[in-house]
Amino acid sequence: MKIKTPEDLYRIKNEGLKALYPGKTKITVGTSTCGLATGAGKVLESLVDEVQKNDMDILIERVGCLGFCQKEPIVTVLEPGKPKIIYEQITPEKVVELIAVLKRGEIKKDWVLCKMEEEECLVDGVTKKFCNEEGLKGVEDICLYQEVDFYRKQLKIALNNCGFIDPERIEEYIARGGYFPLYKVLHEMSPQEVIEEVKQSGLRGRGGAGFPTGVKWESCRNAKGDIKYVICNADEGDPGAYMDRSILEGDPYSVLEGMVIGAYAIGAHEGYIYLRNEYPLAIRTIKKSIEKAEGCGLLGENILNSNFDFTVKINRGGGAFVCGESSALMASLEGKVGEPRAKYIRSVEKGLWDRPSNINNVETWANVPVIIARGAEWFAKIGTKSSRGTKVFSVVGKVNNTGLVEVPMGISLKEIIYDICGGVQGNKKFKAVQTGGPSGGCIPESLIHLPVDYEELARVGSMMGSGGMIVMDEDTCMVDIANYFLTFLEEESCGKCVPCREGIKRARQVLQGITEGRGEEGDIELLQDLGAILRDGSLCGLGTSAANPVLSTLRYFREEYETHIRNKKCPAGVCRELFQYFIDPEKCEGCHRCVGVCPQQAVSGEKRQPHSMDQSKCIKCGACVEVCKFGAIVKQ
Amino acid sequence: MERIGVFLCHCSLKAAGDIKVQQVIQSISRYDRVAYVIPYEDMCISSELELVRDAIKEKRLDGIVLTSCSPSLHLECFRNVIVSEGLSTYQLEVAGLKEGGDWNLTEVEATQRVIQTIKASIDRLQHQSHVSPSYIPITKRALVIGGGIAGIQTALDIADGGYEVLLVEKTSSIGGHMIQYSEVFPTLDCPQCIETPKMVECWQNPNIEILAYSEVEEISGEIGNFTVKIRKKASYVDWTKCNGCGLCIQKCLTQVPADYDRLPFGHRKAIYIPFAQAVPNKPIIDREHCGYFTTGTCQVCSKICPREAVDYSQKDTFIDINVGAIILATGFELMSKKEISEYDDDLDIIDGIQFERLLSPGGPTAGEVLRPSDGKTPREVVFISCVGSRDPEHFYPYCSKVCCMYLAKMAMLYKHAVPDGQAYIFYIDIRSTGKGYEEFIQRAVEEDHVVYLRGRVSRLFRENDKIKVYGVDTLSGRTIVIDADLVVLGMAMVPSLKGTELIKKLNLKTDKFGFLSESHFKMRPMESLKPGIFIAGTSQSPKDIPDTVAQASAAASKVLILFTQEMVIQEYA
Amino acid sequence: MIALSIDGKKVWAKEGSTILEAARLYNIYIPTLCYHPSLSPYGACRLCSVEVVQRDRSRIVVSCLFQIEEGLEVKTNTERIQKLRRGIIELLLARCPSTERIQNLAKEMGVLKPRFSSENEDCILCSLCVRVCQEISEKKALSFVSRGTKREVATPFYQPSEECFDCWGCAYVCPTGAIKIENGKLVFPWMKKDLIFSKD
Repeated sequence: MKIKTPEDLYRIKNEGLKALYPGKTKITVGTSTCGLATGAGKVLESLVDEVQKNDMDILIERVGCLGFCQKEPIVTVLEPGKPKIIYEQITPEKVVELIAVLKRGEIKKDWVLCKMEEEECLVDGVTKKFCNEEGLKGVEDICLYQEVDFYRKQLKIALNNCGFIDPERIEEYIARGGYFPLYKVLHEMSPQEVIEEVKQSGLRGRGGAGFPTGVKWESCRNAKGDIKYVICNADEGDPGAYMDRSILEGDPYSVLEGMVIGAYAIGAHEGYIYLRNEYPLAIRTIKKSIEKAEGCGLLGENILNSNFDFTVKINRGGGAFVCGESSALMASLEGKVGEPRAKYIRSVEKGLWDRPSNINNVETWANVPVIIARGAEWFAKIGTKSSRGTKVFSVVGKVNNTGLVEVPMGISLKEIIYDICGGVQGNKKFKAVQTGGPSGGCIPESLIHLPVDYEELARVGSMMGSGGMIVMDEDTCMVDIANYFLTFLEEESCGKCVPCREGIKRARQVLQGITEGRGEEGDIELLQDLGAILRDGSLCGLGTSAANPVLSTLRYFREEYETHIRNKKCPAGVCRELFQYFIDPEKCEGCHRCVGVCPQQAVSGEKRQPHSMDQSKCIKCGACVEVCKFGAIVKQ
Repeated sequence: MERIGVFLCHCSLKAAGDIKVQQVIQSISRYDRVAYVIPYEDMCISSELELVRDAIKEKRLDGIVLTSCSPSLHLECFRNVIVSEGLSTYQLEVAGLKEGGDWNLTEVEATQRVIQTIKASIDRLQHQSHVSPSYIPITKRALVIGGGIAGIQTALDIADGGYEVLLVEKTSSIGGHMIQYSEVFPTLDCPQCIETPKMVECWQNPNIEILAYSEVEEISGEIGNFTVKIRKKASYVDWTKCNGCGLCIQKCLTQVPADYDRLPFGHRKAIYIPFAQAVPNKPIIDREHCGYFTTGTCQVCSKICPREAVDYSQKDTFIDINVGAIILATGFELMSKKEISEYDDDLDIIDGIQFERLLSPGGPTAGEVLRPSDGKTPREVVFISCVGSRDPEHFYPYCSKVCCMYLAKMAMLYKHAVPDGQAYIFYIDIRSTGKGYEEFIQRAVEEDHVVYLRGRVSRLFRENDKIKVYGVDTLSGRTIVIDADLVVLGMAMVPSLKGTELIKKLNLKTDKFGFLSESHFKMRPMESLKPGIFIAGTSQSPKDIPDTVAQASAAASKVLILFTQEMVIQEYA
Repeated sequence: MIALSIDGKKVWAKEGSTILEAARLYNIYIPTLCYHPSLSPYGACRLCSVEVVQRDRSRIVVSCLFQIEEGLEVKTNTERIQKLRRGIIELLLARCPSTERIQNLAKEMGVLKPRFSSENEDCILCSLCVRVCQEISEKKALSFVSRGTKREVATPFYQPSEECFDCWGCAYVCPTGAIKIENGKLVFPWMKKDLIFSKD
């Protein structure tokens, strides 16, 4: 039934609150793709089974990603009168015991990550307390959610509902305050006021370019034309980035609500979500959400009885990174080949089908309802002067705690990597952090105190990008990293312009040569020349920033390149042609294990005698290193 | 003949010199077979001719000798008189006493000469006998060479008179120069608006066949019976299939600087129609630039044409045709600027037709007056009259007649387009003799504030951004230097036929400037020296459009007179 | 009419013109490869790059696509631009070492031998043939297939086109002569390569 009045909205809110806090035990499982990849699907099945088997009256719900992907599958248990307990790394086998423990009214403390005494709802500003003093007895030794290192410094705005609601249940979204901002916009604010609010907030595009969102909306509003479009860029092509996926899988209505608000401000009545085809769960989720929202009168004609119409369609991508670039995305939406075009005529004036089009990233849209609800001033207080609000980062690589992290801008890289994500794995030495995906650059240890901010990151030769952050340790070869990114970009280049298509190819050839020991004097200068051609001559952002991985690694790790070129050695021991495995006769006990695993029979030796490596046969697979208990096999 | 009457015209005798008339009368009276000698005052007076008639009757004369000035002027009148009295034309002989120019003889010698001349005529009369005239059937079809306004007008008049006309034009469209102008003086009419209806009428008139993109190769024969060979040049488009849709032009990949305008703005395609209102509205291919002919790798127009009208293999074709009369309306060109050494060859020194294209709303700048060198709006424009005309030392002694008017017009139109600009005209005289012309000039001065400077320009050259004009204002006695943005030269009009193969083939007399010579300067300005070939428009002399149209209709009327007869009577073998 | 300056010279051109069109009006030379006056501009070769100064900000744009603005300052031959052009032609020369047009341009710009290994192509993927087929004949028989370094001009599935009516516009505009006409038939680079699909 259609929601038309505030009363309708409150009614649904109450239904949602009942679903969120049902007054009986509720168990949630984080079943976004990250959770499913670690087995959350089976955990869910197992839970349903066990609950049934034990004939318990428990509500089981699927929720989105809480961000701590290292500890997935994450299961939360909310018993009436007790704090919410968050369990980590649950398996189907552990479920059996968990249910048994629960039946006894106990908590399996070994598996607990943390507890939540209350839940803040960001949009509403309302804090829901789960229990009183009584309920807190017996769990004093469990740390609070706010005390967990991973969560302590985070501030979730775009991710504020992820992990807390069933993404498909619109009433839960509304219960946490959703769609009230939209009501306010449609009935109490003029389009210009909405734009003003977003401008004042200082929200900048979260997709990478960081253009002031309110200004963009204003330009689109002022552009000539009756038909305008709003577009959500959900192509998320950066390898390792999955922020948008999590939002779409965990809190899809926030994006939809943001788009309606934006459409109202701009004067558009049609919207498109361009979603990469490689996100099937996100596609399913958003499709269902659109249907539900239409059913409730929150999308389609006469939204919330305001006479404002807005429909949104989903367009699936075809597997091209370049289609994340806004003009290529629009070409793809039009059914043409996904090739970018020159941006001299801006898409806010002539975009999709030559009509004014406003495109924003998923995370940007998700911020909008919160800004309307809490106000531009509140938002503007967060972050730095030029980069306001928060940013979601997907921190991956050689860190102890990988996951999605949403932090106020201005926090230092050091805090993210060490405080939030627990530092480098295995006590290895930190080498660099790559930000901004393939278009970004590597930041060395010397700059790790850098605040996360659009301008600061660009200043050192990297960029914010969509929020990917790859941590690298001493075992990472920077030349190999540059080669990896350039290989990716070469594959993904659309091929239209000469600098990008030919330039990236040649730069990759040079890098490949360096990693294979064929580096020559002058290669570094050649790479710098190619970098200049890419920067000055490329048609789109893919090309102009393609040189960043190379140039930033050259800037901070030049000696590594020179070692590769002149000494034909890879200090990190990654480039296969440039290192050897050497069996240290001091350490080798002659246990013969390595001989057994070597596929090339390169290792030989008498038992209990130091073994030796035949370099001509060794393919550097590293199998021997893994089995050696004495650490006798080292890279040279 | 036995009884010959000799009639002495006093006027002709006086013209011969100081003649002793009585002596002449006496001498002739005694001559063989002379029955009657009488002097008259003026033979051209009709009452005097009546007396001749009476004399024939009374004296039963069977042969007449008249003294007169040129027979060609009065022969018809004399013949009519004797024929009315039942005599035949061979019974008349005219002693022309004004032939051969001024005799410059003494009284005695002149008198003797007159007597000799008359006696000779009397003798001659004896030998004349009846000769049957030849009757040549007239082919009642006219050929008009030249499709400008003169040719168009002539063709329309002859066609409306009921006879077939073949209108041959060497470019691919009729219209000539008139259609290139922006507005015409003194009415400031749009020439496209007044000429195109006539062009379309030519196209639609069932009596007119337009042979555009064609040239006359050979002419032979004579009045009533000319044989003409016409070359239809290969346009590489089959005009019978083409419907003028223009798709070929739109899709042609080769752009060429527009030669129609002779300005650096705009371009045309290798397949093109010269201007929008062309009649026939069919394209031609420029072989020199067309991709097919230059590289062999382009067939776009041929494949794209929905009527399959493009035919690269087309060749020139020839037609032979009979016509009864030919009208030459070949028009004029402007003298080339390059011939003037005082003026540098510069983009911003242009002639009248180039300026017309700048002013024309259908031109390459859509009527915006822009400097050819840099596209800026010119603020100081200098117009110079009599460039090449009225210059017997270097170029042409004649006056090109229309420049005073069109330079004033162009100055006015420039001021209308650029009101805060300044227009100067250097002139020797202002020749504004037509109807409304003087008022037009005054309007230029009083309403549009065109500055007239009486004097000549000695030198033009470029200095950075400007053209320096060195002239003089004789009315104030000062030298003038103007830093002009643009200079328009009133170039002399020269006939298009000058120096062409056609003029040799026609074997027609022209003056030394190439203008066609007329049969009688005063009395028959629309007839050439060859019977059956008529002339109209600026091929005969510089003139404006009303005069051209008038002369064209006059030539047409001559043709119509010819065609009302069945035969041409040729009397002398 | 809009006034702008190109290399210090004041020029005027109609509103909606590109920098390249304005320059060509005044015979100011800017090298191009993928530009043709009768086809819509594409911006692929980047050879026509120029520096523009707008509101005290200097940036490099391609002159075939950038529309003129009042007071725009354009520099067609700065050191940075020369370096860029030389870089582009070096990359193209490495791709097409035996193509005359590229060799001539390289000579003109002082690029002798590319610092990269040579490939053996004639086609520079300028899209002139594709644009002719889209805009002039409107048969749309040609398009680009594959992405990035594998990009090439071809008909759907490399099959002989049923749409093509041999207007030869593609061969006429091809700047490198990669499209040839042999025995009255068009021959494209893809036809000379080994393909999985049959060519008949």
